[in-house]
Amino acid sequence: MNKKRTVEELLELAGKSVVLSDAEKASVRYKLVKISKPKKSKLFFTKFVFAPLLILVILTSTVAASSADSLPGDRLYAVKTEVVEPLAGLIKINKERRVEYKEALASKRLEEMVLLSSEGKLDDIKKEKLLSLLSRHQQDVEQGLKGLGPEFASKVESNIESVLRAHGRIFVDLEEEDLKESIENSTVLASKRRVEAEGRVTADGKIAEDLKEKVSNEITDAEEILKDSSEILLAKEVLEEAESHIDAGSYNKAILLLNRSSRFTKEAIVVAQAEEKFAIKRKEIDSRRVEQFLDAVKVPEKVEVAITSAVMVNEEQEEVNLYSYFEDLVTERIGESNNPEDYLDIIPGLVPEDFEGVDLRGDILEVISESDDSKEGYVRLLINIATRLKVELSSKESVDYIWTQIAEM
Amino acid sequence: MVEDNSLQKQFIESYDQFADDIFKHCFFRVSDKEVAIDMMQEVFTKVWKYVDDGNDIHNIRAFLYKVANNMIIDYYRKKKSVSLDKIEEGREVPFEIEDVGADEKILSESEVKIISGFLEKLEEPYKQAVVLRYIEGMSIDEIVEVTGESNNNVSVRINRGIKKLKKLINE
Repeated sequence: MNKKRTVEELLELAGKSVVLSDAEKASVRYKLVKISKPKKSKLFFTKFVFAPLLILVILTSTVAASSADSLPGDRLYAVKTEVVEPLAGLIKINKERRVEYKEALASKRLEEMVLLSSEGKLDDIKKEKLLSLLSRHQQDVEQGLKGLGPEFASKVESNIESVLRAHGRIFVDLEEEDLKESIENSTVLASKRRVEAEGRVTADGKIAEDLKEKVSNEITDAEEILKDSSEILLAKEVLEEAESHIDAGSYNKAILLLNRSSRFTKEAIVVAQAEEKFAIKRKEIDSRRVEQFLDAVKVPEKVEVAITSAVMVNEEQEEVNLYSYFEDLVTERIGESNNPEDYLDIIPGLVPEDFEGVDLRGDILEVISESDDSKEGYVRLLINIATRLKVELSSKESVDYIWTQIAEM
Repeated sequence: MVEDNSLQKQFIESYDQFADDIFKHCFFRVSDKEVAIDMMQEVFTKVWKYVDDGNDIHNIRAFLYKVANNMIIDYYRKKKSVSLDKIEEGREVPFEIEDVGADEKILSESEVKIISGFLEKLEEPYKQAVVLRYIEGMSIDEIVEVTGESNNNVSVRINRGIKKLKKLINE
């Protein structure tokens, strides 16, 4: 007797059964080769070739070359920042390279601040000029990242954040308090943008493994020049934590931790380079910061305990647990229905995977366990949804947010 | 004189790699082989014009599917109502779904026609989700990349799309 096929299997079979013949494929290919035949362009009389050539002429001029090392206050600094650098950005081959160029310009402005400060030449006018340029470059980066993938955006914002953070520390060492405050504000903004981009990343095992290797190599390279660095120690601890998440298949969490590890390494290198180049005495990172961070990184084992013990006050001024608040929201929405299949229709944001470890019986969710406890069913459902949506369950607002994502679509 | 072969080379390579997938996708969305072949050619033609104008494409696969999807939407806007013949083909079940045995590796032309007939009755966006998931074999994350929808929306559409398709088949 033939085994019955499911509809899903039939669809897959249908997909395999429909193919282009070689002749059909070749026929279309021939037409596409004809329409994509390269056009021959004449030199000098087409704007496509002419504009880059003009840019090249300008960039290789003596004036442009002389402006390269200029600093605020020098005659040619305006030529460098208003002509040469913008033109150099235009000839980058694609949007990603243009964004990286703007990122590099932001780093350059910070280096100029450090150089001038170390020579005692950083007055208020130059500070303002450099901070204004820094802000412009960051805005250019933010603009350039629109439309680009979240993996690239989170990498760029992560780099910017670590460079800013490093320079924040350098300005403390140089006793430039007002600069330190401005840089801290910029760091906070970069951090917010980085978090937003990371939230859009959907990682898989390959992406996580590739990034892990890159971060591991960064640490190895950094260790050759930085001995006994507490930042590198921190970077290694975070890398280890990321590896355990990769093993557990939590790739998104692993990516966040790997980026964090990379930021620590980068921060350490930038600070060390500045110390060497400008003979700045480096202050050690606060060891308490290391411990606080390591505690925050560890995921609590007993999430259920955290949920059932978290209380809030409802409208009737009664103390209730977060899970029972969630249970009320669900049962109010489900109403009189006792058909488990209605859950997915009535609460449109639920997906079948949310019900892992949860047994639907009538209108009461019960967990598949020997204790047969319905309370645990709602806890498990809420945890599954929160994990999928990457929401930390800590307050009524977090449950409200989850509810808007699953029920108010 | 200046020539640039590399762009054409990349473009033709993308055709060699994705032509079958795009054709398959178009076929199961419009249920007509000739239309699907023309549509596939038009998708690649539009993509060539886009890059030839100096635009960058970050993810060629996702871009091809987006162009194809827009073309399919336009096709249905221009098309008159679905012919009665096609509706009847979907309703008629000359063979039981269960007759396709476990040993079958592919379906016959008539069997494919019946499956695509049922699919044609499935409304969007469920049809797109079901085709991408089961016909094209894409993961949820890949579908998210192609459609720009959230992970959650994609999962729900696949789930509901399959339920609706099963209901259509069993009617």
